[in-house]
Amino acid sequence: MSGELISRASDASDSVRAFPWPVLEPGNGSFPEGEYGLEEAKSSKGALEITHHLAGAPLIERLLQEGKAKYACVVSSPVSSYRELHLSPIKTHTIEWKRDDLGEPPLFTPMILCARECTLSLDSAADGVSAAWDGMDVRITEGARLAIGTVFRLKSSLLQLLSFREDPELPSGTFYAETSSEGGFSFVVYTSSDLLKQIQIRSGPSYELRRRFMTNAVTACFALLQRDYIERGKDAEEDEISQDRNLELLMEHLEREGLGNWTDENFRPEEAASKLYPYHMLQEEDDDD
Amino acid sequence: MTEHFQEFEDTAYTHLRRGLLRGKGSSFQKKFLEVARDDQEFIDFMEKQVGMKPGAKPPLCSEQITESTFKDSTEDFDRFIFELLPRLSPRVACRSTFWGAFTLHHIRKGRLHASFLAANGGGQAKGAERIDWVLNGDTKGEAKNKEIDGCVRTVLRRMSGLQEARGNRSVYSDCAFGRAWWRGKFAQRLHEKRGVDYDSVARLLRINKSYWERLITIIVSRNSVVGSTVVQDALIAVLCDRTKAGEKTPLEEPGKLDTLTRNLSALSASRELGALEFKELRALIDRIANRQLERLERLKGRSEAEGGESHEQ
Repeated sequence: MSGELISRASDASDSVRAFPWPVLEPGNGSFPEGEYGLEEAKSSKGALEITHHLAGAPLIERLLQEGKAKYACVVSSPVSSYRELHLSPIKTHTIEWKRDDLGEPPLFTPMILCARECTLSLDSAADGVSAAWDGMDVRITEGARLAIGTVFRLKSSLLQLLSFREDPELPSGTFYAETSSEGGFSFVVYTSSDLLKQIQIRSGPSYELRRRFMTNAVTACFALLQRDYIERGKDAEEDEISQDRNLELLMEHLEREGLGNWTDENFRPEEAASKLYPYHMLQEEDDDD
Repeated sequence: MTEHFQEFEDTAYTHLRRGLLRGKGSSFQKKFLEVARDDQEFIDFMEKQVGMKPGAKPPLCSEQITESTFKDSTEDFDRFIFELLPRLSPRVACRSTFWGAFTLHHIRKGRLHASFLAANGGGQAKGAERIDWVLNGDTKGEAKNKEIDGCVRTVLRRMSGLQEARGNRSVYSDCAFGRAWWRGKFAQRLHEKRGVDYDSVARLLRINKSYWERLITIIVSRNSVVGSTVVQDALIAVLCDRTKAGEKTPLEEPGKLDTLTRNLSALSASRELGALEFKELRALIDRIANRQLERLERLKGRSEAEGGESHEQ
């Protein structure tokens, strides 16, 4: 996890906001050459070591060096009313959380904040800000966001939302899929005991069995989405997809991979699944005349 | 040490809820309401539909719970439920699988009746009456289906919360036991950590259901401006200062709370409020509340001078 967490001021954004001081974020022209995000994020149980990346924003770099700004990361789990801010004077720091506080996999929002109120006279050449800020005096209050990074979660691709469990009552070689909504949306695929053993082997003849199984299992998962998660609520509070970060990230992931959106009329679960896990074609034999 | 209690099996309970929400007035919905009329039938139904994840049996209320307390709990009940589960982690306390199992456990042990789950709040019909009316009343067609569906949703909401329909806030605001516990938790935390009077917090959080729901929605929503504990605590402390027992103040109205949180939201668009200390935040929110109340006074004075009614946005 690295490059995809660095954004540039020149990146497109769905929303453009105006602040009373320059802010480095996608779509905001205050720092035309600015880049901010995380160059590295290493996770371990209950902790994440992150390294912030900042470039093209001399003003923010100077404020950091002078102790007037700090690196920060918010860790949140809205469903269990948890949100904590972690501050650091240096760009590499470890953030920790207690598992018992989190009702879902945590969301992370890196940022750089103003640590002490200050008044600045801006200069585009020295500060790296846009000419629109030239000569302006700005008062930046404690807690003001100077750079805002991409919100991310460690677990969002399809495979990470999929788990397998044994159902000893299933006949040999059979399975079914369910969804779980506790702790964030996920899929649970129940298999017979023998099938569960075989799909865990990732080499030899069992590997092919696993691939074919994944095509079918993922088809079943997408069909569940199409059956049960198709309605969009009238507002964000009552829209199930917006309320569940996993569902939202899964939707974005599928669209990014060109697999479509399950709420569309034309979405076909089997087509999307077989694009993710295509069947391996047998080699055609040469005809000998 | 965090205790590990029994909970409903998550996929099975999700499957049950999904199945019940799938068709208004369906035979499955009717069956569900029929069994909710009888404690043993309800227990048998739930045990057949939903397995239990292993864990300790949760503690039990020592006395029978009345239907009116279950529908609209008292301050004492909130405190009692919290003290029954003082080490419950937020991770578990936000889960419908936990509260569903907790509610079923209380039905199994005769502490409450399954029909209580169908009761709407306030002075409306008791749960058993509502089920009878919905299943056997004179309404027909789509209207009947809608009544049945509404009653099923009430049962699920009251039992465990219903995130599918009501989002993150449902466990906190709809589930009877969940709501009591979280109110107790907030009151305890404000008292122990910030020195705010327990009874003041308990009273504030119980002004009315709409008030609690507004407050909890802004706390647990995805883009919450009061998601940080320190901001939650400062907001509640300011509201406690300004809402006193026996006196009616504007900030007790849900609409005025909305205005305050909107103003806070505008501020948090550019500032990470969680970076401030509790005292600074309390003073900041106090200033915002002052400005809001001054504006209200000006509008009121103006409309009295003009001889009309004032309306606050």
